[in-house]
Amino acid sequence: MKGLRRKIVGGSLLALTREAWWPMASFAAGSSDVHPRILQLTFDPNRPTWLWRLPQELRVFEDPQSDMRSRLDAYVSARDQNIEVFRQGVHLIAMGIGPVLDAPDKVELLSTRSKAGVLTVTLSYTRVRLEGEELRQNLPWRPAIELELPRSLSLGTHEVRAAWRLSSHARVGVQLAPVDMEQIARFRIVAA
Amino acid sequence: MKLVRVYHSVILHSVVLSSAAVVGSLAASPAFALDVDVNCAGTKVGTISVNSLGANNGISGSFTSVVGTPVSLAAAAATCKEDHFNWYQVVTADNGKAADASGNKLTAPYVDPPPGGYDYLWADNLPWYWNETAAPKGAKNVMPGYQLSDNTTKTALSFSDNPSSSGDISFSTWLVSVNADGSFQGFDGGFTWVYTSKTATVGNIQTLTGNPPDKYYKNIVTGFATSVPEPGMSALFLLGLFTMAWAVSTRSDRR
Repeated sequence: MKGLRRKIVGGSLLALTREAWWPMASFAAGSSDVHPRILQLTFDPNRPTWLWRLPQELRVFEDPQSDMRSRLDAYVSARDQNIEVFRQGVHLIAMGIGPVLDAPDKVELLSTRSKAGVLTVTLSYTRVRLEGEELRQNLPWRPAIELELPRSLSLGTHEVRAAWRLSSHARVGVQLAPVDMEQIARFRIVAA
Repeated sequence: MKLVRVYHSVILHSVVLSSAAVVGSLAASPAFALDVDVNCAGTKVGTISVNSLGANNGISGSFTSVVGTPVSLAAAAATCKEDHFNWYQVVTADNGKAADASGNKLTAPYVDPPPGGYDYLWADNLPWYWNETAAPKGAKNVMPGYQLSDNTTKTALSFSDNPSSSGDISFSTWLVSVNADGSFQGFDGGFTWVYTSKTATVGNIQTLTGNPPDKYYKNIVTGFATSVPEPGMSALFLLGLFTMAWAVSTRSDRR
Protein backbone atom coordinates (compact mmCIF):
# COMPACT_ATOMS: atom_id res chain seq x y z
CA MET A 1 0.00 0.00 0.00
CA LYS A 2 3.00 2.25 0.49
CA GLY A 3 3.19 3.17 -3.15
CA LEU A 4 -0.38 4.38 -3.06
CA ARG A 5 0.07 6.81 -0.22
CA ARG A 6 -0.69 10.41 -0.83
CA LYS A 7 0.65 13.20 1.32
CA ILE A 8 -0.14 16.86 1.65
CA VAL A 9 2.24 19.52 2.82
CA GLY A 10 1.23 23.03 1.93
CA GLY A 11 -1.20 24.32 -0.62
CA SER A 12 -3.10 27.56 -0.68
CA LEU A 13 -6.26 28.93 0.79
CA LEU A 14 -8.88 26.25 0.53
CA ALA A 15 -6.79 24.77 -2.20
CA LEU A 16 -6.62 21.27 -3.48
CA THR A 17 -3.15 20.00 -2.75
CA ARG A 18 -3.15 16.42 -4.01
CA GLU A 19 -5.50 14.35 -6.01
CA ALA A 20 -5.66 10.64 -6.45
CA TRP A 21 -7.96 8.47 -8.46
CA TRP A 22 -8.93 5.24 -6.86
CA PRO A 23 -10.63 2.51 -8.83
CA MET A 24 -13.62 1.31 -6.86
CA ALA A 25 -14.93 -2.11 -7.69
CA SER A 26 -17.84 -2.54 -5.37
CA PHE A 27 -18.83 0.63 -3.52
CA ALA A 28 -22.26 -0.06 -4.85
CA ALA A 29 -23.74 -1.63 -7.91
CA GLY A 30 -23.02 0.57 -10.87
CA SER A 31 -20.19 2.57 -9.29
CA SER A 32 -16.78 2.67 -10.91
CA ASP A 33 -14.60 5.41 -9.40
CA VAL A 34 -14.34 7.83 -6.55
CA HIS A 35 -11.75 10.55 -6.45
CA PRO A 36 -10.33 11.21 -2.96
CA ARG A 37 -8.64 14.54 -2.51
CA ILE A 38 -7.04 15.95 0.60
CA LEU A 39 -7.66 19.64 1.08
CA GLN A 40 -5.98 22.12 3.37
CA LEU A 41 -8.41 24.60 4.87
CA THR A 42 -6.52 27.62 6.10
CA PHE A 43 -7.32 30.63 8.24
CA ASP A 44 -9.61 33.00 6.35
CA PRO A 45 -9.30 36.68 7.35
CA ASN A 46 -12.76 37.30 5.91
CA ARG A 47 -14.20 34.76 8.32
CA PRO A 48 -11.81 34.70 11.31
CA THR A 49 -13.64 32.15 13.47
CA TRP A 50 -14.96 30.06 10.60
CA LEU A 51 -12.11 27.52 10.70
CA TRP A 52 -12.97 26.50 14.25
CA ARG A 53 -16.71 26.48 13.66
CA LEU A 54 -16.62 23.95 10.83
CA PRO A 55 -18.17 20.71 12.12
CA GLN A 56 -15.76 17.80 12.42
CA GLU A 57 -17.95 15.40 10.49
CA LEU A 58 -18.36 13.56 7.22
CA ARG A 59 -21.24 14.90 5.16
CA VAL A 60 -22.66 14.07 1.76
CA PHE A 61 -24.12 16.84 -0.36
CA GLU A 62 -24.93 17.71 -3.93
CA ASP A 63 -22.01 19.33 -5.74
CA PRO A 64 -22.83 23.04 -6.13
CA GLN A 65 -20.68 23.00 -9.30
CA SER A 66 -18.76 25.99 -8.08
CA ASP A 67 -15.57 26.95 -6.28
CA MET A 68 -14.28 25.39 -3.09
CA ARG A 69 -15.82 28.02 -0.86
CA SER A 70 -19.25 27.18 -2.25
CA ARG A 71 -18.58 23.51 -1.65
CA LEU A 72 -17.68 24.24 1.96
CA ASP A 73 -20.82 26.31 2.36
CA ALA A 74 -22.76 23.35 0.98
CA TYR A 75 -20.96 21.14 3.50
CA VAL A 76 -21.95 23.43 6.36
CA SER A 77 -25.55 23.61 5.30
CA ALA A 78 -25.87 19.88 4.68
CA ARG A 79 -28.23 18.33 7.14
CA ASP A 80 -26.73 17.10 10.37
CA GLN A 81 -28.77 13.94 10.29
CA ASN A 82 -27.19 10.67 9.35
CA ILE A 83 -29.36 9.98 6.36
CA GLU A 84 -29.76 12.20 3.34
CA VAL A 85 -31.86 11.35 0.33
CA PHE A 86 -30.69 12.17 -3.18
CA ARG A 87 -32.07 11.53 -6.63
CA GLN A 88 -30.18 9.05 -8.77
CA GLY A 89 -27.77 10.64 -11.20
CA VAL A 90 -26.91 13.78 -9.24
CA HIS A 91 -23.28 14.64 -8.64
CA LEU A 92 -22.59 13.93 -4.97
CA ILE A 93 -19.63 14.85 -2.84
CA ALA A 94 -18.65 13.32 0.49
CA MET A 95 -16.53 15.64 2.58
CA GLY A 96 -15.01 14.90 5.97
CA ILE A 97 -13.28 17.63 7.93
CA GLY A 98 -10.56 16.74 10.40
CA PRO A 99 -9.23 18.40 13.55
CA VAL A 100 -7.51 21.78 13.84
CA LEU A 101 -3.80 21.20 13.14
CA ASP A 102 -0.58 23.20 13.31
CA ALA A 103 1.83 24.33 10.59
CA PRO A 104 4.17 21.30 10.67
CA ASP A 105 1.39 18.71 10.86
CA LYS A 106 0.91 16.30 7.98
CA VAL A 107 -1.98 14.28 6.62
CA GLU A 108 -1.66 11.22 4.42
CA LEU A 109 -4.20 9.20 2.54
CA LEU A 110 -3.51 5.60 3.49
CA SER A 111 -6.17 3.66 1.68
CA THR A 112 -9.57 3.70 0.04
CA ARG A 113 -11.56 0.50 0.18
CA SER A 114 -15.08 -0.60 -0.52
CA LYS A 115 -16.81 -3.57 0.98
CA ALA A 116 -20.44 -4.52 1.08
CA GLY A 117 -21.59 -1.11 -0.12
CA VAL A 118 -19.45 0.75 2.44
CA LEU A 119 -16.70 3.01 1.16
CA THR A 120 -13.95 3.55 3.74
CA VAL A 121 -11.17 6.10 3.39
CA THR A 122 -8.34 5.83 5.89
CA LEU A 123 -6.04 8.75 6.62
CA SER A 124 -3.24 9.36 9.04
CA TYR A 125 -2.61 12.73 10.66
CA THR A 126 -0.07 14.13 13.08
CA ARG A 127 -0.48 16.46 16.06
CA VAL A 128 2.94 17.91 16.79
CA ARG A 129 1.37 19.96 19.57
CA LEU A 130 0.61 16.75 21.47
CA GLU A 131 4.20 15.65 20.97
CA GLY A 132 5.52 18.77 22.67
CA GLU A 133 6.72 20.56 19.52
CA GLU A 134 7.82 24.16 20.13
CA LEU A 135 5.77 26.44 17.89
CA ARG A 136 5.93 30.21 17.71
CA GLN A 137 4.48 31.79 14.54
CA ASN A 138 1.85 29.25 13.64
CA LEU A 139 -1.44 29.40 11.81
CA PRO A 140 -4.04 26.75 12.46
CA TRP A 141 -5.44 24.74 9.54
CA ARG A 142 -7.78 21.84 9.06
CA PRO A 143 -7.53 18.92 6.71
CA ALA A 144 -10.50 17.76 4.71
CA ILE A 145 -11.04 14.65 2.63
CA GLU A 146 -13.27 15.12 -0.35
CA LEU A 147 -14.66 12.31 -2.49
CA GLU A 148 -16.55 12.78 -5.70
CA LEU A 149 -19.06 9.95 -5.71
CA PRO A 150 -20.06 8.29 -8.98
CA ARG A 151 -23.29 9.50 -10.58
CA SER A 152 -24.15 5.88 -11.28
CA LEU A 153 -24.75 4.89 -7.67
CA SER A 154 -27.47 2.30 -7.43
CA LEU A 155 -30.81 2.87 -5.69
CA GLY A 156 -30.73 2.19 -1.99
CA THR A 157 -28.70 3.08 1.06
CA HIS A 158 -24.98 3.76 0.90
CA GLU A 159 -22.38 4.46 3.53
CA VAL A 160 -19.11 6.39 3.46
CA ARG A 161 -16.59 6.30 6.28
CA ALA A 162 -13.49 8.36 6.95
CA ALA A 163 -11.10 6.88 9.49
CA TRP A 164 -8.52 9.34 10.86
CA ARG A 165 -5.55 7.65 12.51
CA LEU A 166 -3.28 9.72 14.75
CA SER A 167 0.37 8.99 14.03
CA SER A 168 3.70 10.23 15.30
CA HIS A 169 5.40 13.02 13.33
CA ALA A 170 8.72 11.94 11.85
CA ARG A 171 10.27 15.25 12.91
CA VAL A 172 9.30 14.94 16.57
CA GLY A 173 8.96 11.20 16.88
CA VAL A 174 7.17 11.01 20.22
CA GLN A 175 5.04 7.90 20.52
CA LEU A 176 1.44 8.93 21.02
CA ALA A 177 -1.41 6.90 22.38
CA PRO A 178 -3.60 5.95 19.41
CA VAL A 179 -6.52 8.35 19.14
CA ASP A 180 -8.59 7.34 16.17
CA MET A 181 -11.62 9.09 14.89
CA GLU A 182 -14.22 7.63 12.59
CA GLN A 183 -16.70 9.70 10.63
CA ILE A 184 -19.72 8.06 9.04
CA ALA A 185 -22.25 9.38 6.55
CA ARG A 186 -25.21 7.34 5.31
CA PHE A 187 -27.40 8.40 2.44
CA ARG A 188 -30.10 7.00 0.23
CA ILE A 189 -30.40 7.14 -3.53
CA VAL A 190 -33.94 7.23 -4.87
CA ALA A 191 -35.28 7.13 -8.40
CA ALA A 192 -34.97 10.38 -10.34
CA MET B 1 11.88 56.77 13.66
CA LYS B 2 8.45 58.28 13.68
CA LEU B 3 6.75 58.71 17.01
CA VAL B 4 3.98 56.31 17.82
CA ARG B 5 0.59 57.55 16.79
CA VAL B 6 -2.04 58.36 19.37
CA TYR B 7 -4.38 55.55 20.23
CA HIS B 8 -6.99 55.62 22.92
CA SER B 9 -10.45 54.43 23.82
CA VAL B 10 -9.07 51.16 25.05
CA ILE B 11 -11.74 48.71 25.99
CA LEU B 12 -10.88 45.52 27.78
CA HIS B 13 -13.25 42.63 27.61
CA SER B 14 -13.48 39.60 29.81
CA VAL B 15 -14.68 37.02 27.38
CA VAL B 16 -16.21 33.72 28.27
CA LEU B 17 -14.18 31.54 25.96
CA SER B 18 -15.94 30.11 22.93
CA SER B 19 -18.99 32.21 23.54
CA ALA B 20 -20.08 35.60 22.44
CA ALA B 21 -20.86 36.78 25.93
CA VAL B 22 -18.82 39.85 26.70
CA VAL B 23 -18.62 41.64 29.99
CA GLY B 24 -17.09 45.08 29.71
CA SER B 25 -14.54 45.97 32.34
CA LEU B 26 -11.77 48.49 32.35
CA ALA B 27 -9.86 46.78 35.13
CA ALA B 28 -10.38 43.20 34.04
CA SER B 29 -7.33 40.97 34.34
CA PRO B 30 -6.51 38.62 32.79
CA ALA B 31 -8.02 40.09 29.62
CA PHE B 32 -9.00 37.82 26.74
CA ALA B 33 -9.97 40.54 24.28
CA LEU B 34 -8.95 44.06 23.49
CA ASP B 35 -9.91 46.95 21.21
CA VAL B 36 -7.45 49.76 20.50
CA ASP B 37 -8.27 52.78 18.34
CA VAL B 38 -5.55 53.87 15.91
CA ASN B 39 -5.28 57.56 15.01
CA CYS B 40 -3.25 59.40 12.42
CA ALA B 41 -2.94 63.18 12.37
CA GLY B 42 -5.78 63.46 14.86
CA THR B 43 -8.12 61.27 12.82
CA LYS B 44 -9.23 57.82 13.87
CA VAL B 45 -8.23 55.54 10.99
CA GLY B 46 -9.23 52.20 12.45
CA THR B 47 -9.34 49.79 15.35
CA ILE B 48 -7.13 46.91 16.42
CA SER B 49 -9.29 44.12 17.86
CA VAL B 50 -7.84 40.90 19.27
CA ASN B 51 -9.38 37.91 21.00
CA SER B 52 -8.12 34.82 22.75
CA LEU B 53 -9.64 31.75 21.09
CA GLY B 54 -9.42 29.26 23.93
CA ALA B 55 -7.19 26.31 24.75
CA ASN B 56 -4.92 25.24 21.88
CA ASN B 57 -6.55 27.75 19.53
CA GLY B 58 -4.35 30.80 20.10
CA ILE B 59 -5.19 34.39 19.37
CA SER B 60 -6.85 36.10 16.43
CA GLY B 61 -7.63 39.67 15.50
CA SER B 62 -7.35 42.42 12.97
CA PHE B 63 -6.78 46.07 12.28
CA THR B 64 -9.90 47.33 10.54
CA SER B 65 -10.01 50.65 8.72
CA VAL B 66 -12.82 53.13 9.31
CA VAL B 67 -11.79 55.75 6.75
CA GLY B 68 -12.32 56.24 3.03
CA THR B 69 -15.32 56.21 0.73
CA PRO B 70 -15.77 53.33 0.52
CA VAL B 71 -13.91 52.37 3.68
CA SER B 72 -10.58 50.76 2.85
CA LEU B 73 -7.24 49.79 4.29
CA ALA B 74 -5.60 51.78 1.50
CA ALA B 75 -7.44 54.91 2.68
CA ALA B 76 -6.17 54.34 6.23
CA ALA B 77 -2.64 53.91 4.87
CA ALA B 78 -2.97 57.10 2.82
CA THR B 79 -4.20 59.03 5.87
CA CYS B 80 -1.14 57.79 7.72
CA LYS B 81 1.06 58.78 4.72
CA GLU B 82 2.31 55.25 4.16
CA ASP B 83 2.00 52.41 1.66
CA HIS B 84 0.60 49.56 3.73
CA PHE B 85 0.37 47.97 7.17
CA ASN B 86 1.91 44.85 8.66
CA TRP B 87 2.55 43.59 12.19
CA TYR B 88 5.81 43.58 14.13
CA GLN B 89 5.94 40.95 16.85
CA VAL B 90 8.60 40.41 19.50
CA VAL B 91 8.89 37.46 21.86
CA THR B 92 9.81 39.35 25.02
CA ALA B 93 10.12 36.33 27.33
CA ASP B 94 10.40 32.67 26.36
CA ASN B 95 10.62 29.78 28.78
CA GLY B 96 10.42 27.23 25.98
CA LYS B 97 12.94 25.95 23.45
CA ALA B 98 12.23 27.61 20.10
CA ALA B 99 14.84 27.28 17.36
CA ASP B 100 15.47 29.35 14.24
CA ALA B 101 15.66 28.02 10.67
CA SER B 102 19.22 26.79 11.27
CA GLY B 103 18.24 24.99 14.45
CA ASN B 104 19.86 27.53 16.80
CA LYS B 105 18.04 28.05 20.07
CA LEU B 106 16.38 31.44 20.29
CA THR B 107 16.78 33.60 23.36
CA ALA B 108 14.29 36.37 24.14
CA PRO B 109 13.89 39.06 23.13
CA TYR B 110 13.73 38.07 19.47
CA VAL B 111 11.62 39.02 16.47
CA ASP B 112 8.83 36.60 15.64
CA PRO B 113 9.46 35.21 13.08
CA PRO B 114 13.27 35.48 13.03
CA PRO B 115 15.06 36.06 9.68
CA GLY B 116 14.42 33.00 7.51
CA GLY B 117 11.79 31.72 9.93
CA TYR B 118 11.81 28.74 12.28
CA ASP B 119 13.03 25.20 11.93
CA TYR B 120 9.47 24.21 10.97
CA LEU B 121 8.35 27.28 8.98
CA TRP B 122 9.89 29.48 6.27
CA ALA B 123 9.78 33.28 6.60
CA ASP B 124 11.31 36.11 4.57
CA ASN B 125 14.13 38.35 5.77
CA LEU B 126 12.01 41.37 6.65
CA PRO B 127 11.18 41.81 10.34
CA TRP B 128 7.42 42.00 9.74
CA TYR B 129 5.02 39.31 10.86
CA TRP B 130 3.51 38.49 7.46
CA ASN B 131 5.89 37.75 4.60
CA GLU B 132 6.19 40.49 1.98
CA THR B 133 8.37 38.51 -0.42
CA ALA B 134 7.71 35.11 -1.94
CA ALA B 135 9.72 32.08 -0.90
CA PRO B 136 12.58 31.30 -3.29
CA LYS B 137 12.37 28.12 -5.33
CA GLY B 138 13.39 25.12 -3.29
CA ALA B 139 12.82 26.83 0.09
CA LYS B 140 11.88 24.36 2.81
CA ASN B 141 8.89 24.46 5.13
CA VAL B 142 6.94 26.95 3.05
CA MET B 143 3.33 26.93 4.26
CA PRO B 144 0.27 28.63 2.82
CA GLY B 145 -1.34 31.58 4.55
CA TYR B 146 1.72 33.50 5.75
CA GLN B 147 1.95 36.10 2.97
CA LEU B 148 0.76 39.65 3.64
CA SER B 149 -1.69 39.27 0.76
CA ASP B 150 -3.21 36.18 2.40
CA ASN B 151 -4.05 38.29 5.43
CA THR B 152 -5.22 41.49 3.84
CA THR B 153 -8.77 42.24 2.81
CA LYS B 154 -10.09 45.47 1.33
CA THR B 155 -10.77 46.87 4.78
CA ALA B 156 -8.68 44.87 7.27
CA LEU B 157 -5.31 43.36 8.07
CA SER B 158 -5.70 40.16 10.05
CA PHE B 159 -3.56 38.78 12.81
CA SER B 160 -3.49 35.20 14.02
CA ASP B 161 -1.08 33.09 16.05
CA ASN B 162 -1.29 29.78 17.81
CA PRO B 163 1.94 29.05 19.70
CA SER B 164 2.75 25.87 21.57
CA SER B 165 5.53 25.49 24.07
CA SER B 166 6.82 23.70 27.14
CA GLY B 167 7.14 27.10 28.85
CA ASP B 168 5.21 30.34 29.13
CA ILE B 169 5.84 32.98 26.44
CA SER B 170 5.23 36.73 26.41
CA PHE B 171 4.63 38.63 23.18
CA SER B 172 4.46 42.27 22.15
CA THR B 173 2.73 42.98 18.84
CA TRP B 174 2.66 46.34 17.08
CA LEU B 175 0.75 47.45 14.02
CA VAL B 176 3.48 48.85 11.81
CA SER B 177 3.40 51.27 8.88
CA VAL B 178 5.52 50.02 6.00
CA ASN B 179 6.75 51.75 2.87
CA ALA B 180 6.23 50.26 -0.59
CA ASP B 181 9.71 48.70 -0.54
CA GLY B 182 9.03 46.93 2.76
CA SER B 183 11.06 49.42 4.82
CA PHE B 184 9.93 50.72 8.20
CA GLN B 185 7.80 53.84 8.39
CA GLY B 186 6.29 53.97 11.88
CA PHE B 187 4.55 52.15 14.71
CA ASP B 188 0.81 52.50 15.15
CA GLY B 189 0.11 51.01 18.56
CA GLY B 190 -0.38 47.42 19.57
CA PHE B 191 -0.87 44.93 22.35
CA THR B 192 0.96 42.49 24.61
CA TRP B 193 -0.23 38.98 25.29
CA VAL B 194 0.88 35.86 27.15
CA TYR B 195 0.80 32.19 26.22
CA THR B 196 0.46 29.94 29.27
CA SER B 197 1.82 26.46 28.64
CA LYS B 198 -0.08 24.74 31.45
CA THR B 199 -3.45 25.60 29.95
CA ALA B 200 -2.28 26.15 26.35
CA THR B 201 -4.23 29.39 26.37
CA VAL B 202 -3.61 33.00 25.42
CA GLY B 203 -4.53 35.70 27.91
CA ASN B 204 -3.50 38.87 29.66
CA ILE B 205 -3.96 40.90 26.47
CA GLN B 206 -3.01 44.49 27.25
CA THR B 207 -2.58 47.72 25.31
CA LEU B 208 0.91 48.71 24.25
CA THR B 209 1.69 52.37 24.54
CA GLY B 210 4.64 54.03 22.87
CA ASN B 211 7.24 52.78 20.44
CA PRO B 212 9.14 49.62 21.24
CA PRO B 213 12.27 50.34 23.30
CA ASP B 214 15.63 49.67 21.63
CA LYS B 215 15.84 46.20 23.18
CA TYR B 216 12.64 45.22 21.33
CA TYR B 217 13.44 46.86 18.00
CA LYS B 218 16.73 48.62 17.23
CA ASN B 219 18.91 46.03 18.98
CA ILE B 220 17.23 42.94 17.53
CA VAL B 221 16.47 43.79 13.90
CA THR B 222 20.11 43.87 12.82
CA GLY B 223 19.93 40.47 11.12
CA PHE B 224 17.01 41.49 8.91
CA ALA B 225 16.85 43.13 5.50
CA THR B 226 15.76 46.76 5.74
CA SER B 227 13.82 46.73 2.49
CA VAL B 228 12.98 44.67 -0.56
CA PRO B 229 15.19 45.78 -3.47
CA GLU B 230 13.08 47.05 -6.34
CA PRO B 231 13.49 45.07 -9.58
CA GLY B 232 14.99 48.12 -11.33
CA MET B 233 17.57 48.58 -8.57
CA SER B 234 18.44 44.88 -8.62
CA ALA B 235 18.90 44.97 -12.40
CA LEU B 236 21.10 48.07 -12.10
CA PHE B 237 23.17 46.37 -9.41
CA LEU B 238 23.61 43.24 -11.54
CA LEU B 239 24.51 45.34 -14.57
CA GLY B 240 27.17 47.09 -12.48
CA LEU B 241 28.57 43.75 -11.35
CA PHE B 242 28.74 42.41 -14.90
CA THR B 243 30.41 45.61 -16.12
CA MET B 244 33.04 45.37 -13.38
CA ALA B 245 33.64 41.70 -14.13
CA TRP B 246 33.97 42.46 -17.84
CA ALA B 247 36.39 45.33 -17.15
CA VAL B 248 38.56 43.13 -14.92
CA SER B 249 38.51 40.33 -17.48
CA THR B 250 39.47 42.71 -20.34
CA ARG B 251 42.32 44.15 -18.27
CA SER B 252 43.75 40.71 -17.50
CA ASP B 253 43.50 39.75 -21.18
CA ARG B 254 45.56 42.80 -22.15
CA ARG B 255 48.29 41.75 -19.75
